[in-house]
Amino acid sequence: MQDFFISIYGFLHGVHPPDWDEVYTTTGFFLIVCSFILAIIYYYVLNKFFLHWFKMKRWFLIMLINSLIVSLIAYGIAISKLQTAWLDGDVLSFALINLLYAAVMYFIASCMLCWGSPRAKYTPLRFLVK
Amino acid sequence: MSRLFIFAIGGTGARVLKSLGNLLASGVQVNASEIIPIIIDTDEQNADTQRTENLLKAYRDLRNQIPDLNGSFFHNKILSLGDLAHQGGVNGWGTNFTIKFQSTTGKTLRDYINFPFLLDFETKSLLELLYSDNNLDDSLTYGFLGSPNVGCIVLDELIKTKEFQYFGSIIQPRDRVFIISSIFGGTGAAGFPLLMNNFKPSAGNIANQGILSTIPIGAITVLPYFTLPKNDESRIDSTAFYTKSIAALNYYQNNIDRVNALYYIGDSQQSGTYENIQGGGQQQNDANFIEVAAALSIVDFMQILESNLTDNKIYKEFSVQNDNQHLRFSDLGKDTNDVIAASLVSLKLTDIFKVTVEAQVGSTFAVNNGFTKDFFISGFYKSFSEFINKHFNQWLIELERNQRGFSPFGQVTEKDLSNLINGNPIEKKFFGSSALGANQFVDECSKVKSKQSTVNGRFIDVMYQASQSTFVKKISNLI
Repeated sequence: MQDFFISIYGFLHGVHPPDWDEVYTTTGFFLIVCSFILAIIYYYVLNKFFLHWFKMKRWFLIMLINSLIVSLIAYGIAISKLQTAWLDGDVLSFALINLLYAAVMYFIASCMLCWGSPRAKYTPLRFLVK
Repeated sequence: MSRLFIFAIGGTGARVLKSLGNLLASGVQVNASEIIPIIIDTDEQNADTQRTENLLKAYRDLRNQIPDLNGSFFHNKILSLGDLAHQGGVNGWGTNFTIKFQSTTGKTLRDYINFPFLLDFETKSLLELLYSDNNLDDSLTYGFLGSPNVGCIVLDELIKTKEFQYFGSIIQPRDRVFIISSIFGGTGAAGFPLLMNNFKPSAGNIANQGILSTIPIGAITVLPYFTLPKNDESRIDSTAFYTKSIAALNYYQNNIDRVNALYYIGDSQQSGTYENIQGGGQQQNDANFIEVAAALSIVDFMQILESNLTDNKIYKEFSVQNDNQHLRFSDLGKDTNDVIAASLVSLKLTDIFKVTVEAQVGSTFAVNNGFTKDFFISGFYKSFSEFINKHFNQWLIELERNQRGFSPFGQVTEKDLSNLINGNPIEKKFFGSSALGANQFVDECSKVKSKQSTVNGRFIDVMYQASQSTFVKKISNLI
């Protein structure tokens, strides 16, 4: 699993010293967990109790929130694990990469979880149905 | 199941038919395979008749777009005689529900019977004995102005119309006939006995006279239920309504013997909220609860088993539980509420929540049922919305503002439905919101698994079933 996260992050973040490995792994787990939790909240809580949350703009809102949370947590993990300066370029780019990866992971989680949603079964895949 | 031919005679007949149309639209069911209303009114421009004609056409057009739907809004099929003729391969009849008479516009009774050219002195003298100068010289443009003795001459033409002859040729032993007429006016009071005379075995005016003389016939006679202010420009004098009713009832007692079930309805608490208009485009009376109750006689008649419709006539009347000037559901009897409450509430809920459902395009149940943006701008949906606004809601408004009024519903918004049932508020939840809201309604919509093959049918089915289950869970205990 650690190798998987290292290769994924290495794809956009480039090659880094081994002390980043733990950062990648911890952040990677958090990325998955956070995206799935927010997708569950979106599909099975918000879309059970509120009428208009099935709409794409609401789905994008949760995606943005997920990305911001993951990005901030990634930034925090990197700072705390690596003991670097607050505005270190590598750490900032890592946070930005997590912004993107969180969005991708949220999309994947959505595809896996949307089928049982009371109101948002076809969000964001409405284009697949007529 | 039998077909039901309804003869609605005069302005009251048309207004009762309007109430029946709204009840049927809301899901009240008449035990008939097809309903064929036939409006008899020589006043071509009468606004009440026109409004009923428009409602029936709108109903029929909507129903034609959901051909396989049963047990829902618009349950019963409504057809005109022209539609039946078209189905039978006869074209060119038009699709109106009103029988077309030889025009009486601008004519007087004297013109109509060619009085000046009658050669027979005795006939002329007899006519002058039976008809006053006013009777002979009043214009027939707006009907018979409350004079059934005039009406019986002009309406005799009914039997010769191609519509009536066609009706006589297609009537079948399992069919039933129902006649709606008032007893205190001109057209209805003249038309009812005239029809009954032509349904007798001895009449011999119709192709299937034998069948017509044996099929079950029901009728409602509407006794006075409103008064009119004095108007020097109108021949109609409502103070004579009772006298005319008594005279007509005396005639009915001895001469109306063919009918199997006869319903009587009237209102002792009459109030004059209508203008005294003789007829034409200005005669547009607000809907009245008496007309709703009269329409229910048709539902009742079709529930009577044929074995019970014998030569021993059935007589029925209608009453309310509480004699209030403004009736609510709680003032009606249980039997009445059993027939109308769930249906009226269902169409009302559909009206309230249709905008909510419209905004659900893309949600699970909307996609599953094919409720797309295109559907909500389709002709069917527009017609359905227009029917509710133009006919159903307008009917409810008129019923409410009339005296005696019928106000089943209170003021509500989509967000606050606590006053939906007038006089019996829905309890609020602990934190103040209504126990019934858009969220619950959409949940009910989501639970419906419609088997309708078309999106139009599914929409009506989903809305009806969701409304019905909402009624059962949240509202039925308040009625």
